[in-house]
Amino acid sequence: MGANAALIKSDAELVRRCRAGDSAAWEQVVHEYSRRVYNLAYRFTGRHESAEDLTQEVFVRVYRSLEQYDPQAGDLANWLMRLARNLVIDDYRRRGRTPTDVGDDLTDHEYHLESHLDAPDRGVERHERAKQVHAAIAKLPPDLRECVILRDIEELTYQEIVDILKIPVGTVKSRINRGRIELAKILRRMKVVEIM
Amino acid sequence: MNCSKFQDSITDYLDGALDSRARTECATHRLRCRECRELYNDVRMTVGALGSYARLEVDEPAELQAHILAATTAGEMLSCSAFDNLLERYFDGVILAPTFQTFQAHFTNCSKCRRLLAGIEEAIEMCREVKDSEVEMPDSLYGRIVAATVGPQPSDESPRGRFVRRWHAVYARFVRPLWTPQFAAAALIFAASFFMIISRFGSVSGMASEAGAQAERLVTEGQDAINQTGVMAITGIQRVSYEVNSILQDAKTTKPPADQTDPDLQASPAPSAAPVTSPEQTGTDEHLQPKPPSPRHSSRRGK
Repeated sequence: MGANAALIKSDAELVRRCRAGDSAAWEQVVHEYSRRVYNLAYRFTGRHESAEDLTQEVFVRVYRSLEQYDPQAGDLANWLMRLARNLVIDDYRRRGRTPTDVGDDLTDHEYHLESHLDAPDRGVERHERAKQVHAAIAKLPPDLRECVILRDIEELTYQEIVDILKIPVGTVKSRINRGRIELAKILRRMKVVEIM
Repeated sequence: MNCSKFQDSITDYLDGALDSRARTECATHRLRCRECRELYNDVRMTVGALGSYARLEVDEPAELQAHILAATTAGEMLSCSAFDNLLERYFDGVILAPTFQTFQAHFTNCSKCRRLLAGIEEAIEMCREVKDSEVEMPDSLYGRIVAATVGPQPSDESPRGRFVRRWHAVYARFVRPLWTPQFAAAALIFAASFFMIISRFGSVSGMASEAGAQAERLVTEGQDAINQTGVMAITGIQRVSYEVNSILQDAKTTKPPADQTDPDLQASPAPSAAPVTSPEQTGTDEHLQPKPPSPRHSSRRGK
C-alpha cells in the first residue's frame, strides 16, 4: 500500500470499498491484520512455513466472506480474528493435531515486544523465555494445547472457547487446568520456570 | 482435601473463582503439601509466562503481505454482486480500463460468474439469430391489427382474412360458451347417435346414399303418378270435346229434345252452357268452339 494513501478509518467504508474491487482498501486490511493472523497461526502450527500458508489461506477466506461482515454487529478486527481463529483451529484439527517440532524453527526468528518500555537486558530475557514457552506449548497434547492457547494467549473467555471448539464448558475448564499443569511441568523440566 | 482435588482446582484457585470455603481448603492444603505448593507456584508462573508470551509477536515474513495480495487479486476481491452490476456496462462496452482489469480478473477466478457471463453471451447470440430469421406473419394478423386500431376495413381485407375474422367472432360469441359441462353431455349424445348410424348403415355416406335413393324413388313414383293422371285427363277432355262437337253438329240439323242429351255432355260444363246461349252469342263464340274432328281424330275415334 502506498505511503501516501489515506487510511480509511471506518470499518464499514473499508469493507464497502473492498467489495467494490478497491485494491488499496484491501491492501489496508492485509497490512493491518496480517501480523496478528500470522502470529495466531504460528502459535498453533509452530512453524513459519505452515503459518505463512495458513495466513494466506485465512485472508483468501476473509475476502471471499467480506460480504458477510456486518458493521452493525461489531468491529472488523473482532470479525476477522474470529474467522481466522476458526480457520486456524479447523486446520489444526484437520492435520490431526500433530505435535510440531519447533526446535530448529525457534532459532531462526525474532520475537518483538509490543511494549518497548522494557530495559534492553530485560527484553533479551523475555525474548529467550518466549522461545522456551513456545517450545513448551508445542509439547502439550493437542487437546490441551488448543485450550491453553485460546485462554492464556488469545485471552478468550470460556464461552468463546466453547463456541469455537464446540465442547462443553466443563471440558474447556478441565483442559485449561490440565494444560496449565502440564505446561508448568514441561517448563520446570526445561528449567524455565525457575529463572522467572 | 487431597492432592488430586487440589490440582483439579488450581486454575479456579488462581482465578479467584472458588467460594470462600473451597478457597480456604485449597490454601490449607497448599501450606501442608510441599509438592502441591511447588506445582501451584509453577502454574502461577507459567500463566504469567503465557501472558508475556502473548504480548510478544514474531515478525511476519517480509514477503507475506505480497503473497496474500497476489493470492487475492482485485478481481477476486470484487464481489459477485458487484460483478453483476458491472455486467451491463461490460456488454455496452463503456467499462473503464482499471475496472475492466478487475472485471476480467474476477471473471478468471470465479467459475460461477464465468458461467453467468457465458450464459448471457449465449442468450445475446440467440437473440441475434432470431432477429435475422423472420417468420411469416399470419394473414389475419394485419386485419386484426387494423380492426383493433382504426376499426374494420373490409375493402382491404382478403377473403380468407375476413373469413378468419368472422370465424373468430362466431367462435367467441357462440362456440366458446358451449365449452361447458352441458356441452360435454350433448357431445356424448351426439357421439352415441353417430355410433348408431355407423352400426346401421356402415358409414355416414352409406346413410346419405340410402336416403338419396329413397328420395329418388319417391320422386320417380310421384312423376309417374302425375303423368298417368295427366294422360287420363287429356284423353277425357278430348273425348268430351269430340262429343260436344258431334252434338253441336247434330243441333244444326235437328233440334234434339233436352232429355236426349248425352249423359257425358251433362257432366261437361262447356257443353252444358251451349243450350242456353243466345244465337248471337253462339255466332260470336263460334270461333271458340271446337272444330270438327280432324280426319286423324275421326280415324282415331273409329278405332
